[in-house]
Amino acid sequence: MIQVRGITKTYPDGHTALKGIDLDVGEGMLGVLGPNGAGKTTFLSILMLTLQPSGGSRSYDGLDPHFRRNWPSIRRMIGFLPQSFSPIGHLTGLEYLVHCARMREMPLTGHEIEQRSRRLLDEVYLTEAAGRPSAEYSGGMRRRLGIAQALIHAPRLVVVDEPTAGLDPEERIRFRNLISDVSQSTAVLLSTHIVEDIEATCDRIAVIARGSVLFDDAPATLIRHALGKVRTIPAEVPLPPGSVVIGSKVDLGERVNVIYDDTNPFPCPDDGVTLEEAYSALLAAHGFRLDGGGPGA
Amino acid sequence: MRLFRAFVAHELRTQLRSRRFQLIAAVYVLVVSAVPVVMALSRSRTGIRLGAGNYAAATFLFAPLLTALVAALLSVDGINRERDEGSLSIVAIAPLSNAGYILRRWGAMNVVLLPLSLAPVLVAFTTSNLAGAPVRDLSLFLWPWLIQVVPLCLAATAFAIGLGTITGRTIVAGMAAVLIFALFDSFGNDILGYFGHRIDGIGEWLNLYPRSMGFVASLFNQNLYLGLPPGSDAPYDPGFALGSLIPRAATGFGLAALFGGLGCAFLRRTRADLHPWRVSEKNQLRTYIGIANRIRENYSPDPGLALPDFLLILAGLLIFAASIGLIINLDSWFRGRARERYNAEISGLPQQTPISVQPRSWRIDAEITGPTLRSRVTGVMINSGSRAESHLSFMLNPTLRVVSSEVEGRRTMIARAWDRLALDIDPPLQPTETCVIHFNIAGTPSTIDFAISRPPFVTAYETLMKAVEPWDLADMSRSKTGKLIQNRRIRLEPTDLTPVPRYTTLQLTPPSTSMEVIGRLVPEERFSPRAHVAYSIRVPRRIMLAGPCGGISRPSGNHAQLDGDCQLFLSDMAILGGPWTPVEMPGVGVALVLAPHVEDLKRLAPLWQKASELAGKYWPRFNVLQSAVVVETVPEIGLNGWAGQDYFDVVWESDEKSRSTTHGKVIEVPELVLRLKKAFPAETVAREALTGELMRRRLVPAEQQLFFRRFYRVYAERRLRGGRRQGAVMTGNGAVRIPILTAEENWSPAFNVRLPAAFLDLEHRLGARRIDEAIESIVSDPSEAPFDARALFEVLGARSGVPLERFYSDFIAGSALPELSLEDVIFAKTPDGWDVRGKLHNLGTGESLCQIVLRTDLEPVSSTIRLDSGQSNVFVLHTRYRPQVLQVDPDRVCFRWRAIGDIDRVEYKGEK
Repeated sequence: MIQVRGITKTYPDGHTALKGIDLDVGEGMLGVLGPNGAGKTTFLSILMLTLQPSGGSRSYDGLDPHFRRNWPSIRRMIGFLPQSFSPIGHLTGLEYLVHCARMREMPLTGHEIEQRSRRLLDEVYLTEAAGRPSAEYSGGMRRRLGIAQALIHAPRLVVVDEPTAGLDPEERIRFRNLISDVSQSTAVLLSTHIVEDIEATCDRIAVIARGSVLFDDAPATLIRHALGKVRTIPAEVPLPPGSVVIGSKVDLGERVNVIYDDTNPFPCPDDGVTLEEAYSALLAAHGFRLDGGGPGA
Repeated sequence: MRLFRAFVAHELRTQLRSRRFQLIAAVYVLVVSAVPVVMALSRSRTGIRLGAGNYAAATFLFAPLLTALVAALLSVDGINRERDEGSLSIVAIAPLSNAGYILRRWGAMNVVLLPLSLAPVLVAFTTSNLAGAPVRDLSLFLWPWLIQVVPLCLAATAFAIGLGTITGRTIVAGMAAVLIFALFDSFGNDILGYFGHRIDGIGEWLNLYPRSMGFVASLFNQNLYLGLPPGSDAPYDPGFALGSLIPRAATGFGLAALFGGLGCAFLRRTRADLHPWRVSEKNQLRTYIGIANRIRENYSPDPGLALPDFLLILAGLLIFAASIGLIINLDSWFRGRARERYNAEISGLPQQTPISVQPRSWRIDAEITGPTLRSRVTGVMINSGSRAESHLSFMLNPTLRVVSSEVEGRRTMIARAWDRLALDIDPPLQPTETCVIHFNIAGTPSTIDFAISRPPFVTAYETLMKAVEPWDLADMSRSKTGKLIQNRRIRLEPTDLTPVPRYTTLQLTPPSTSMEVIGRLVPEERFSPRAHVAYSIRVPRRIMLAGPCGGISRPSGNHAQLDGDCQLFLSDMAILGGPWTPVEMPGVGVALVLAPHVEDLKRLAPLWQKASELAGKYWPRFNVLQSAVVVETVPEIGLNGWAGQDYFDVVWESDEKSRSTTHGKVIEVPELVLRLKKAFPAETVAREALTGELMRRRLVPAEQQLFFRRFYRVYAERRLRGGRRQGAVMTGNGAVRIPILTAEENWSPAFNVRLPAAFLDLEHRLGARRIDEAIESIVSDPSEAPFDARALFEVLGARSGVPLERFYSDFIAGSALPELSLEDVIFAKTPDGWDVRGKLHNLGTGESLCQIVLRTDLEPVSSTIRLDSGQSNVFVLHTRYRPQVLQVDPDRVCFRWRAIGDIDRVEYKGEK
């Protein structure tokens, strides 16, 4: 549906956020994973036509956004839930959806728009709150309303940026399920730095870091790449030369470090590598420090 | 349209739920409505009965300014709210273009604001009805709203939405707005100044006039009521108002379109890709470059604008350019007309018509269609002089065209410059010969009021032409053309209907040494010939007309026709019209007034009746106020703030002020006068009618016209009302030593104080009957030679046998003022009574002729003493009876000044 080739972006202050992104967005659910500052939001902004790239090309079902006349069609094609989504507080959930539908010029009658809005509110579990001002909604309810507004005009792709950040576990699970349901009928691009969200929902993953796509395939493939390179060692044992700590956990009551070590001539057992460990291993393999210090040198 | 409805629905819902909007809207409605409401509550303090027009005018005193402020504030606030609450993200992915968004936003904002701006109008409408001024004509409220408020609201929202979108913040937008207008006024006018143009700001569009605040303050002051904003109950004239609006609104409208259009390039739905500026770490200016880079990032136009966006920007630019072009075009047009007028006035040409050539008959056949007039004039002129004349000069409204002109049986050379028309005929008009002149006139008769500082025009125009600094230039686009034919009123003076012979020179008056405003003027016509005048004028049926021969227009099919045929001074050939209701006035004739003023007229009718009786009683031969047509004339009210008849003129001015104007049988009464609560003296009406009549009877020299007008006025006043209360004595600091003959200002104390005092002395010396006889002989003299002030006093002296040479040279032509004081007064008992001795000293100047009177227990003794400047004379008065008091001029009939310390009364306090 969307092909992105060699997208680069350098901000006016000289910071290069994207260094040449190549990505295809098709059916199903694509998870875009990356550490903070990796360029995910920049990438999504470019995808949503809210930011002009410095270079590269994009194609939306064959429509080239280089030509301004294509923008309305492209915009109709996409629904967006921004990271800092906030509905218009004085509008009720229902009014807000109706407003969004009208602004996006849905070719429906007023009655049909209201019906569709109510159905969507139902789908995002907001039926009971439909008549309340959205300012009174909790964080999770707002995100769900955000998904509803992103879907109101029946887009072919819904782009969701960091949707679960700040949500409590219960709301996060509910939201993941919601996204998962949406992806049955609509392509979804989920951008997050939370691996768990991707693991639970996505059948394809793209890892972006330092403005480049490090990986673009199924989550299982990412795990497979990490097999034999990720193992645990007791926390008090010195790190083998060339290895990098990519995590720590408590295993059988003992604190252990999870390390990435691709110098070991004896492959590790291939069981027990999670997607998060595989993701961390990928970042470590590309020289990122994972001790909380952000990308390494 | 569906999308626009969505914008409107959202804007309505958002604003109506917003506390901020509710507060602003409430304050707006309260403040704008407060003016008419408080005016209604304090209506007992006004000098006139308030009409619906007054309530309408009060409503729109602040409505334009406040509407603009509220519209701008809410628009900018809406932009910020949208960004703050995140609803712009909805817009960001909506498929509409930036232009589509901005335009719909603007439209939706106005759908909210325009009904709001109607709320105070409804309050005022209700107030007017409740306060005893029923609104018969809704257009009095609706037209001003449409013309003064709606365009301003549209422009303010466009400007604010544009600027708010560009700047992104309310405060920055406010600062930017101030900066834009300041720069436009200063820098813009600096540039325009190089090309000799200037564009004034939008203050007049906002109706910003200092007097408005003074009026509002007076509403709350129990003792003072400062005027009224000009309002009329006559139907509103949208054409005139629009004509005034366009040059005043063009700048603001253009700027609004420009910024409204540019706003769509700064919606920031898509941020541009800007190349980074490489700044070395060692660069001394890196901080400033960083700031500049951030500004560049924040204020770079959106990339990839769509065709509608470009069209909107282009439209904004075109409207802006068209607005400026319109202003400059208007400015140039008025400059052109001003140049024509200047060239004509400075030339002093053409030569005036010889006084020997006068009209014998004058016929005007005219048709009024819309604002235009077509007139066919046939005049018969006779040469009563002793030599052949070939040059005739006429005056004609400069906005009228002479389609054709012809003098029967003669070759005619015609020349036109501004309001002058010269005809040179060949062969010349021989003595006693007559000629028939035909004129075909067409056009839209209008007044042109040039927007150049104060009069005189010639001086003001020269100042403008010599201007080198922008502030010396004038925005001539603000000049006004006022159509003389409107649906609400028709007011055609003689030169608006026909070329009128000009007998007074057109050479400018000399520059004044005292006041610039009264020098270098085209002299007023001082002679108006009397002729047999006939006219026949057709108008649309809805208009009624009145003409100087009396009578009113009669319906004739779809038209109304006014016919007249009488002997008339050509200067009285005025045609007045309006959407009037006729009312019979017993003893006078008929009155034509606006329907809401019929009751007012009935209240004033006895006054007119009395004025007519008075005029008939004293000067039955003149017959000036009988079978008159009293017509109400309405002020010309457009958008020009406080233009129109001044409330003070009507309510507060003393009875010196004339409140009506007479044109033959037509008496023109301004609307405000008709609504006066307190009736003014009937004598003033009669006085003005008589003064005009006396002036027209005899030609006087141009430079003495003002003197004669005031002399006749004092004379009429004396007959009708008894004259000056203080008699011929001037007291206090009011010793006026200005020669009456050469006083230049109509308001001069020489006319208002010195002349009435001197006249009483004159009457005392000559006797009232002698003066009446002398004046009767002067105005009845068929001689056409100018008659001057010296000749006037010679006739007065000859009639009465009293020499008046010194009186004239001392008090009329000169500035002398006697000041008398008694000195060394002694009451001495003699065998047969008493001797009273003393000296009377003239401490002042000029020859006084005053009486001293000794009052006694039985009969007074008096003596008249003539004293020249500084002279003192001894007097002795003898009486057989016990004296009481010695007085100088006890009847106050001797023209003099009584200063503090002067002794003009000595009481007898016993024998010495």
